[in-house]
Amino acid sequence: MALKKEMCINHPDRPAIGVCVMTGKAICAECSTRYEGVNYSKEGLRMLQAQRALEAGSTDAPGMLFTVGMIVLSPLFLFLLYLFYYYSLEALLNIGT
Amino acid sequence: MLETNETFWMRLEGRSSVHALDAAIGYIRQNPMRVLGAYVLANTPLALAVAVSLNEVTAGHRSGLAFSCLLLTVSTLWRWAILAVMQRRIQEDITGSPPAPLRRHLGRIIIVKLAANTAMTWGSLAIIPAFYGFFLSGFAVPLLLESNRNTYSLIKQSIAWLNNSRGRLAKLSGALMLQFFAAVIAILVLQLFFTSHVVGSLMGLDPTELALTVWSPLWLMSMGFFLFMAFDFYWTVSAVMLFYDLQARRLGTDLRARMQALSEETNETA
Repeated sequence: MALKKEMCINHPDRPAIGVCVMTGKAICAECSTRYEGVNYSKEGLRMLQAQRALEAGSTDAPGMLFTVGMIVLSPLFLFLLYLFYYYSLEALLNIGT
Repeated sequence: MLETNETFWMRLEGRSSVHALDAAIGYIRQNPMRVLGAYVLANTPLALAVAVSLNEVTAGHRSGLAFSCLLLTVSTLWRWAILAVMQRRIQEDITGSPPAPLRRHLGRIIIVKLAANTAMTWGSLAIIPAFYGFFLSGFAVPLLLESNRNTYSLIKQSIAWLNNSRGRLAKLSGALMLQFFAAVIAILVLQLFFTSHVVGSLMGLDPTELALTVWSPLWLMSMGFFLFMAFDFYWTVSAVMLFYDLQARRLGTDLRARMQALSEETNETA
């Protein structure tokens, strides 16, 4: 299957190397900035900055609660892993006998 | 790290549901030594623990089960830590740049894998949690290394991806299960053929005695474990591919084109 090539939205004579995930526009290497593994244009980065500023204003209570909960429950998960192995071996033992 | 350039391609239309599995096979063929060593290191303690456990089971030693399970649990944690190293390498090759350092995120990776594993094992009674647990456990490493955002928002996001791709993932799971059952049948048929017709005439062994060994519970369980290891290796690589394939729209990249670029770079350096 042939690759579909698009031209940069800012530089029509240059082929695009990716798509800005905020604006959805095709951009060339010069216009592209990679942040946290994602391609952004200049406009897209500004939009991301505004979005993150909004998110930072709100409290991250669910995130903290989740993290604390996971840490507290991790010994239980470890015990459940041990139990899973125990009952699996028991089952194999019973099949064998 | 392999030499890479920063070329990304436009997303292709009509990606197949098993695209990630094809990409995994392509990656393993191109770079076997980049992943095989880490995989063997990750699973050697587990293989030893399994050998001890199977020995206890076939000997009927119920008293030894508790210690065997402890060995299995500890070796599983080791396995997850080294597989994280392996998946980080694959992630580095796919993205073309090193992800976050593993040591800072290993704690939360292990905890997420523990939770996902619980969903996959105990949750299998209700089926649906096992679906989420299976995929989340597979791509916990690239998910948590790619971003500094908190674990809660990353997991919420990944569950949303899994929900949106339910159909594709169900087909992928079906393809994996079919491959597994085909491999089981192939091994059993080959074993039957060799023990009944080939080994006896070639090596002068009594086929009846040989059949007693190769159809014994210990032998069958050992073969099952090796088959599991082969598929686990394949899935460990595929899970990273699947993570990036699910994100193709979000990242503005295409996994197939990235694999093609990686293949060209490997051929040039060779």
